[in-house]
Amino acid sequence: MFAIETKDLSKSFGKTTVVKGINLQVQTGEVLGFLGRNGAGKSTFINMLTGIIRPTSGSFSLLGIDGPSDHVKKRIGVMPDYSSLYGNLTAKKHLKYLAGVSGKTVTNQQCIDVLRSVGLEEHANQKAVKFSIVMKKKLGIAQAIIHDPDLIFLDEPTSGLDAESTIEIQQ
Amino acid sequence: MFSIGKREFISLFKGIKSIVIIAILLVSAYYSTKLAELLLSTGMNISAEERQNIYTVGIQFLILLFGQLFVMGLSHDVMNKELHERTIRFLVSRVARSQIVIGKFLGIWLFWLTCLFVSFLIVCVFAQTFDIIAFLQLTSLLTYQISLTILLSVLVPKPGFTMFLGILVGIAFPILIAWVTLTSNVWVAWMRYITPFYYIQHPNFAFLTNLLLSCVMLIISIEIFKRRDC
Repeated sequence: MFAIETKDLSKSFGKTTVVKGINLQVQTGEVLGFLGRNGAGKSTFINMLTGIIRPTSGSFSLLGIDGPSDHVKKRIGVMPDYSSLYGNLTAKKHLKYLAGVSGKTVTNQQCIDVLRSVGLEEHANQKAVKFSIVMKKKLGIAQAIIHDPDLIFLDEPTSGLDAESTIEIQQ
Repeated sequence: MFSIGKREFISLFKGIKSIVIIAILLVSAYYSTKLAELLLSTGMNISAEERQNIYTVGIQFLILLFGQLFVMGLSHDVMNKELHERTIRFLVSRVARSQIVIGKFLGIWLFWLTCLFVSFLIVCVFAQTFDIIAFLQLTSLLTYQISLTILLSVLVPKPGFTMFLGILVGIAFPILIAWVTLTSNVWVAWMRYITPFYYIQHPNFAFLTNLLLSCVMLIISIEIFKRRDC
């Protein structure tokens, strides 16, 4: 069973084809990174796999389940690109809410543990609207892993960050 | 779904708009009963049915005239704000899109049900009776108005535009519906069957049709939302 398998996956916006016939197989436990220039379709490809946008043609499966499937969504963690956070929620409430949406109840301690893992423990009760870009990226990662997913998609987790912050997030 | 509904429900109680609308509802309920008592004390010749309705007539008029405006005022951007700010991506990557729409609907519906129930309780204290049919009729009307609000929020992508549309629809809605309900013009009279007032004119179970119409609007909202890229 592949963690990700796509067959001729394509996406067009009007007459513009952004992703054309991608065939890909990713093994379980494998870490795969996409590289490409701006507008190459990296985010579009990830967005198709995560149910954010619908493919124009082709098929894919995640963790052996044919997609787009609502059943598999609970088993994946996603940090979408260009997503703002809920400004009026604290970091801890973000995690509680989004874990709840995934159908998992988490304790305060579990939230703190995840926030500690991304270096945001001290800001657990601070509202996201006051966060810097780096902190928002970190919270984006935290919400992607809070429900202990089997498969994680991180879309540009270090874009716009300085070298020091990039290393910090990679660690 | 329930997490989304819970968040929507709680967030509706926050903010000055909600507080003002809740205050208007509760004050109306209180003074509606006071007015009813005053009218009854004058020895007016009214039937038993009218006697029962007279206590809730203030709330009924308020919801009939301003219900759509209130609902749209608070929830015009329930879907498109998340689409606009892209926070919807956190939700669509986690649960089925239908669950997002239903969760939002449940949260808003529960908020209005709570407000209406408390208003009727205030009336109940003075009237010493709970007008269950009037309560269910208004609940069905609010259900229709909430579904229409969600449909518009899915159809119109810009929150700023739904705010404008909300005021427009909120004001025009009762006027238009009263017209199509009462008119004998056959070219527009058919529209009464898809509007909610027609089904709450008489104290019977016709109000259930409003729930059916709400379901249709919610299904349309879900189908449109399923086809939308976020």
